[in-house]
Amino acid sequence: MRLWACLGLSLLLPLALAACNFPQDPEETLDKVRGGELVVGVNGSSKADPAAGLENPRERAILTRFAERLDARIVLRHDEFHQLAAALEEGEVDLIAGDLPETTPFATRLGLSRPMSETRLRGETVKTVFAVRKGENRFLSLLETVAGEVK
Amino acid sequence: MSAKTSYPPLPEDKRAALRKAVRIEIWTLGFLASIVAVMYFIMGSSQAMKTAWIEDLLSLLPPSLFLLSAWAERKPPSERFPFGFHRVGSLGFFAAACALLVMGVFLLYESITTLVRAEHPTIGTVELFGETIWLGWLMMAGLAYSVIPPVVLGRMKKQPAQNLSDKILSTDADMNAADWQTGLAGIAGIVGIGLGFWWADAAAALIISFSVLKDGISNCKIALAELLDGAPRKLDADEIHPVAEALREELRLRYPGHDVRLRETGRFIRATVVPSLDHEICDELRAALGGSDEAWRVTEVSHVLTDSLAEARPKAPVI
Repeated sequence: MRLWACLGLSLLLPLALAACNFPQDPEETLDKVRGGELVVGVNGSSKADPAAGLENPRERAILTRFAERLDARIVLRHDEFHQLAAALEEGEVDLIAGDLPETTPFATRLGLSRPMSETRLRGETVKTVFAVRKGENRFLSLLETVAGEVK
Repeated sequence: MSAKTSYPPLPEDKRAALRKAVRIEIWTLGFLASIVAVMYFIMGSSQAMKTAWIEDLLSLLPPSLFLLSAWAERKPPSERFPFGFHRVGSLGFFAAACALLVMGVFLLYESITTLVRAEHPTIGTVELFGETIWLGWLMMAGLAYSVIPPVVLGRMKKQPAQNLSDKILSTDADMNAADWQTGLAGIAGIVGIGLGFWWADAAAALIISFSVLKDGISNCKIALAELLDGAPRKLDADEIHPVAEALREELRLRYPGHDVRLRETGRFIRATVVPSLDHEICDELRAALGGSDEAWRVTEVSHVLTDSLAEARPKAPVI
């Protein structure tokens, strides 16, 4: 009954791991941000208003709370979206925010969060998300948990 | 499934086995449908889960084909289908074997591209009963559910598949086995992702794709042999069935100077005993058709021997 042994083991293994920190970040984004800087990429350039592009109040509230939880300082980085996506993939930016629609054509290159807020796009209401570096599941999970706490 | 409509009439124990197999396959369809539904809701954007889901979708095919051919093969021959419908089984088996092969190719492609592109699977959280939990846990639970019914049902199918010489049932059992292996690989992959090894599930899927491909290729070979009127093959290997060998020897002894040709139509074996000089019959017939444009197409005329006829076998073939 080798088959049943395999089956039993593979079902028990995840349970045994439940005690550990699950999930982990392959590139350790969460550990890097904690106690340091949370680099938030925002689409567009804004010399005049440093917070331009990040007007959505709920998104701002979530980011503020997230940074507090991590004891980190928010650093905004304004750039053109392709540059931001590339920087995210390299780990230079930790998160992209600012009315990023759920239906973004960049979906395959970004790790998208659950819907965070809503915005208007060409006359339609669309849900907005945050984007993290792909596979940084621990960072993403904590971000989503914090978002769930913000009313 | 009355004896009247069954063609040819099957022994009672085979009919009982067939009824049991039909019941198992109906259960399989029910369970697979529920698995497909559960997986659809938890797959999120995970590529590994999507692969497992498509595979579950594909594995709906063999049980459906089995039920279809078990129903159709019993129909008596008609004017439009004078040889009956036994080969529905052959056709269904070919389709089921192709499904297995496609699944193997798909799995191989997905895992290689994931590894080459170094795609890190992103799995977020869901809110369940007011709690935020990692979707990976739900995926593991769903995959665990997707593993158990195929394991049980697949093992239940092995024996009737042998008993009934049913290749679709046998392929289905193989597919169920592949199903539970990919399910386990999926769980292992998600555990790997949880531990921070992004390549874990692609690597697991790659290993499994080889075994699925191997089964798919060997089943396709058997199915092609059957469709090309090859001699009856074993259920799970591209080798001539011992029963067919024995039958051929026996018929050769009984009808010396004749060619014995065996082929398979679905689960049934057909033997044709023809005089060795069959090309002469063709010439005769061609002459009879005299000048018809279609005469060249007649390549063989076979004559079914019955025991009474065989006693007083005429020297010249009767057309």
